[in-house]
Amino acid sequence: MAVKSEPGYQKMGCEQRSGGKALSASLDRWWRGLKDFLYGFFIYGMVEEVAGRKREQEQVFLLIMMGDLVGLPIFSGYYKLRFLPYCLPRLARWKKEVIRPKDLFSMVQE
Amino acid sequence: MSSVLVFVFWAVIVVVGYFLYSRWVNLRVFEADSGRATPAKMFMDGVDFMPANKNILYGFQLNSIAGAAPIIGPIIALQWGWLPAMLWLGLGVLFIGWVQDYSSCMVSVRSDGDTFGALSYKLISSRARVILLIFVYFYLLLIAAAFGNVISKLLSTNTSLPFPMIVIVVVSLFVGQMIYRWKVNILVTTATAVIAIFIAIGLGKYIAIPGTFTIMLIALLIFGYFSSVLPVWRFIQPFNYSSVYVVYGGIIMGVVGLLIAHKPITLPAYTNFSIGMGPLWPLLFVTIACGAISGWHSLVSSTGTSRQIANEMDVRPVAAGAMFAEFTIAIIAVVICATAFGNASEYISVALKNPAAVFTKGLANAMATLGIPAGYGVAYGGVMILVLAMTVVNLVFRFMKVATAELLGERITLAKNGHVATIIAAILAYILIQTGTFRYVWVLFGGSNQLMAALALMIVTLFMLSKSKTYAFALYPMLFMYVTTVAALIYISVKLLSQVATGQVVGAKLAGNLIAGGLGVLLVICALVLAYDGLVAFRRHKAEQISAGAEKARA
Repeated sequence: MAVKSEPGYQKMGCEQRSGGKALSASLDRWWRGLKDFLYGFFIYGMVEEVAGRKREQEQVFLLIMMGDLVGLPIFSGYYKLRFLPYCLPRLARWKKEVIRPKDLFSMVQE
Repeated sequence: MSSVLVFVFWAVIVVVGYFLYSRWVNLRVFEADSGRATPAKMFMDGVDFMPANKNILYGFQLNSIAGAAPIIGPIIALQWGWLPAMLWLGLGVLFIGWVQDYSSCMVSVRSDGDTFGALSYKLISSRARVILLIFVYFYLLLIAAAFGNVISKLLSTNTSLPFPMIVIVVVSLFVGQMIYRWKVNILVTTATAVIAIFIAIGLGKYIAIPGTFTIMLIALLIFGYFSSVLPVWRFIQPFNYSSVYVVYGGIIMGVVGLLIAHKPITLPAYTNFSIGMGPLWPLLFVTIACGAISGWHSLVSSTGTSRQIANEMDVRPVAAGAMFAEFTIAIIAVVICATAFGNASEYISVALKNPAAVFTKGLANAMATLGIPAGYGVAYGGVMILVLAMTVVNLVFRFMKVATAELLGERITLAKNGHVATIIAAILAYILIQTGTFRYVWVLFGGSNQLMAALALMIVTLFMLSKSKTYAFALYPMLFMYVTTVAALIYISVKLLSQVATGQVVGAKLAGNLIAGGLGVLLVICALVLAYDGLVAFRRHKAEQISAGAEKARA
């Protein structure tokens, strides 16, 4: 019978502990994977929809702000200057989004 | 044969296909690299381009590709016997199905998230994009006709189904309102919706709503109209969300019931090479589309998924993994249907009249082993098929609206109007459903779907060639699918049009044969033009490859 002070006993205990930890980590990984899968299956589409609607509104707002760049001077200069610091960081992304070609196939994502 | 042996067959296909073949293609052919930047990271905009966790994407991809087709297709194809259906499902997914889903996604990932429209323009020719659009429009029309027929028939033959469907539509509107406007907790919303739907399925037989085929069809088209013109969050998405619990609840109950009941397959393994519908080759290969291979998946993989892949190594579990999951659903459908009836003649008499009824009976049998009353099981199976088919119809009308605007918008301003475009699509679908013969429309739909898959594989082949990589894994499946589906479309078109020429059909059937046959011919012409352009592009890329090799040798 193994005695507590013997190296064999300690090694066995370590293995059991590390085996338990590995099992727990593996179960945790599976559980997280399952939760992500269910989230993707049921909820992700809705989250994307909300993000898409937010982007649409932001695009319209930026168009109002920067409309004069494309010949639409529709916003008073005063307000434009007040909003400019908030809009400038988004300008590059907005430009990319607006000029990206879209076709029927892009709709599949919806 | 025991249905348990079928699950052994399933396991072998999944192990060989997913764990061996797809791994080899991923690492050796595409040389997937976890360090390479993906479009989701390069062009991140928080919406279209957005890196996502592979497990989330896997769930999303499976939800996007799985519809009613992996269930309806095998039901019709079982007339040739369960063995050909099972073999095609297994070998189809093993050599072609996952290859298409995975490589469509990978090609798009390596091409900055380009859609198939842009890829066909770049890799094939400028007119290829327009032809692809025309092709997709009529492909969508055939989907609407095939699924519209299934829905209207099921609603008109089973009076206990309209009530739960009305409840699902009303519940969906509330779900949309609760989630997006009232900000109610998602778990509370879900529980309320699911309980209401499950109760409504039970109440259906007490609140019978009779209606003819035409009335149900018109109701469906009105439903399609609203799903096309209303915002996605208002109707389509809550409908899909609420009904998905019914679908996967049914699949789980069906599988558990089958495993407990351990029923033998009562249908013959093989009947005849040629049955009433036509010969096994090429028709079986287009009758069963989803579950083996489906062109629709390539559109989903190359657009939505490819722009959200965070790491190239995720493409395999997401795209190929979801395809194998759909194959699993199809296998379950085959087993449920093949164990539902006492003998083959009983099966065929029901399958020819109303294919969905085969599934509802099979599912009710499986659910009965769990103690669920047969009446509830039949109604549950019916609602399950209906929501699966209606999910597809929802999407098709929205697509057709945009396709009409893209194709005709430049010349006819009215075509850009969403209401007008949807009404045009609904009228076309109505005519085709009312006049066409369901099983031929289904085969035409399957043919166009499979042809879409062949075209996707053509794009993959050309992409691999243009990058001087091995392309045989996509080329041979593409050739097989192309020849088979064009042959199926020609066979059905000739059959339908020859019935017109010899005066075998009159009245509405005559119109139906003319429209369906004409559509078949149009799809074949589109396919031939694309094949010609594809061949020219293949030679061009090959010549470029040779000259590049020669230059390298000189240097």
